[in-house]
Amino acid sequence: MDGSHAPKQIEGLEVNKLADGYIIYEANRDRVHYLNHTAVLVLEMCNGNVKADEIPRLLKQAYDLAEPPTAEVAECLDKLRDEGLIR
Amino acid sequence: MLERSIQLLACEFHVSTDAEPVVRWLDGVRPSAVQDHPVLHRHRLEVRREADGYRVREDGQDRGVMADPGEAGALVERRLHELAFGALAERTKIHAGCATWKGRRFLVVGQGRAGKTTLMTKLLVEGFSVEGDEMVLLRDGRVVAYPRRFGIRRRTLALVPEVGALVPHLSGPPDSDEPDGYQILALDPSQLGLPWHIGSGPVDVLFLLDRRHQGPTRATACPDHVMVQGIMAQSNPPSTGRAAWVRDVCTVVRGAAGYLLTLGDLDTAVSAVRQCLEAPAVNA
Repeated sequence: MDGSHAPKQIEGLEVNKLADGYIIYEANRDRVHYLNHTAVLVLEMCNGNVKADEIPRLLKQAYDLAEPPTAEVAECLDKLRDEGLIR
Repeated sequence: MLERSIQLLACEFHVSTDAEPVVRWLDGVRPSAVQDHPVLHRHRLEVRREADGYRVREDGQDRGVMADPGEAGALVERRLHELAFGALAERTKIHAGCATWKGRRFLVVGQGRAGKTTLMTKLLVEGFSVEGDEMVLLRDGRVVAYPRRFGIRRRTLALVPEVGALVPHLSGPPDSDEPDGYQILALDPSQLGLPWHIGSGPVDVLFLLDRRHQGPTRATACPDHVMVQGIMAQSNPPSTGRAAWVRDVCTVVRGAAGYLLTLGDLDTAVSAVRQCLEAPAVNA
């Protein structure tokens, strides 16, 4: 994914919180997805205003991480895009 | 005229007939359960003997002529269930047994022939308040068992001999375990001298039947997302749509402790279920 692109989650997602993650229902394609906590954090940042390469830095700040989780975020964004949850 | 009143949750049915075999059929399948659910719809069904068979009417509408009383009884039974389910179509239907023990409500979810009925029958004779063996209706985190007699196989009678001893007329040689052929016996807890009360409420503990094995039964904590997946595989969406289905299932999972139950021998299954129900409650 191009780091300067600001990904945005698709419309029509219904998010259901569980103890160990989230169940997302995608009405348009009638699909159910399971996302862990990290994936949901990334998904929530996909609001069309935050560039992809800013997300690791924001997560580092928010969770006081030693390093920005660049590789993990890139992998997560790829999966979210592959699943059709962001564009 | 012979008459029967039958409540199936939101529906109350008044059935009248001049054919005694039809009443015998209905008496063999109607549940004696006392139900808390308010009656919202009332229907009248009638079976009349005629020259060419048995005419069935439903709320004054002709439903056809059946060749014999067994067919007429089967049609009436089918319509009772269709109307009862139709009246609560906005609820998610889950293949699950439902019971309470010391005030805690639990579900045993599993596919057909996973051992639900056998386990629920064993729990029944062990003093649990078993409300249903097969189907529950869910909405907004609250469940109610669908009132249906327990569909036990003769094989279950061998596994739960207490039942066979109390209802010897149901006993007989076990059927073969061929996938195409076994007899379902419609067991009413009252036949065992046990009360049958169907309430409703939130679920405290969920058991997902994992698989069967020969050893002792094991209960292990089940991650929520696995439980959601397991329940969705064993349920049907409500008429309000699939988003509501996912929401319903997530709500009930969120409020309950979840366990995978690897079903082995039934005595250890009872102990495992009790142990899980005695564990501290999960906050929704």
